[in-house]
Amino acid sequence: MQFLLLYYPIFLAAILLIVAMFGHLNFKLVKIQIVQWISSAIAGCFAYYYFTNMYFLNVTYGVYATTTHYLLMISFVVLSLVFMIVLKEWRLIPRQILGAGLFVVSAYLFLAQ
Amino acid sequence: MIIFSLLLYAVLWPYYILTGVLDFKHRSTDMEPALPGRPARRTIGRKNADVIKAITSMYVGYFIFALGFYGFPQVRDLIGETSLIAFVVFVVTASVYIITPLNRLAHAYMSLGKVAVSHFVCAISAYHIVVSIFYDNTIPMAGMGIVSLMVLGAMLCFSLNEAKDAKKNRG
Repeated sequence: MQFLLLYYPIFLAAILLIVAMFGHLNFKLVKIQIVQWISSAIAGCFAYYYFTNMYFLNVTYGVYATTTHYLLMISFVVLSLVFMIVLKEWRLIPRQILGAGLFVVSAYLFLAQ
Repeated sequence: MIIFSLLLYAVLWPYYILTGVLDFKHRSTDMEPALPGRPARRTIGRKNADVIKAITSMYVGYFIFALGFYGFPQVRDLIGETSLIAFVVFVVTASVYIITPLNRLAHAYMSLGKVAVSHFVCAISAYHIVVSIFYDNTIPMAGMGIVSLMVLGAMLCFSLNEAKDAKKNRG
């Protein structure tokens, strides 16, 4: 239960990150300065949300910043992998399957240690 | 700890060379190979310069990001909670302002996955350096091994050489 409470807001933050990133990579017609301002504004809201949340989790549940940081980055990579599969930019070659397995196992080991 | 983090970042370079993003084999005045859906527009020299600029500045951006999130709690007794949050929001906004154009710069030569890997590696490396300086925090040898395996796994997931792959499909 504690893990779910911890993971839900971070997962939401990771979804926001990857969607924002994929979005701004594909708006070819918008000027880059405008994209910069918009993404900075999103990041400002995100920072307020994530930072206060990190503090809350640390004080209430004793969850270290290391764990929250890694959870965010792991979710970011996993979500980008999902994006690649959906967009069919991912060929199923052995080293990619090996990499995915290695990533999942080591992420689990890192969080379980 | 700092050496381990720097090594993590250094691994990005052979990764990009092996996946064909950075190319030091051919002359810098030659044209880059076309990627699927993207025609070849620039020379290899320009491509290398852009990719190096992107991953180096991304690293700097993540240092600012990590300082914002994990450096400022050290001074929370001095400036109070509201000012601290305002500071963090300002610093993170500034770092994202730096990182945003780099995403586009890098995406001209590599896939979304490779951009995500460079974010992953730069964020983790900068984060560990900042944390070890401010909090004297270390991770044990086993932890370092697991982190290295995680980075290796992410790199293998997105290890497709797109230019070569496109050529194979055409041929």
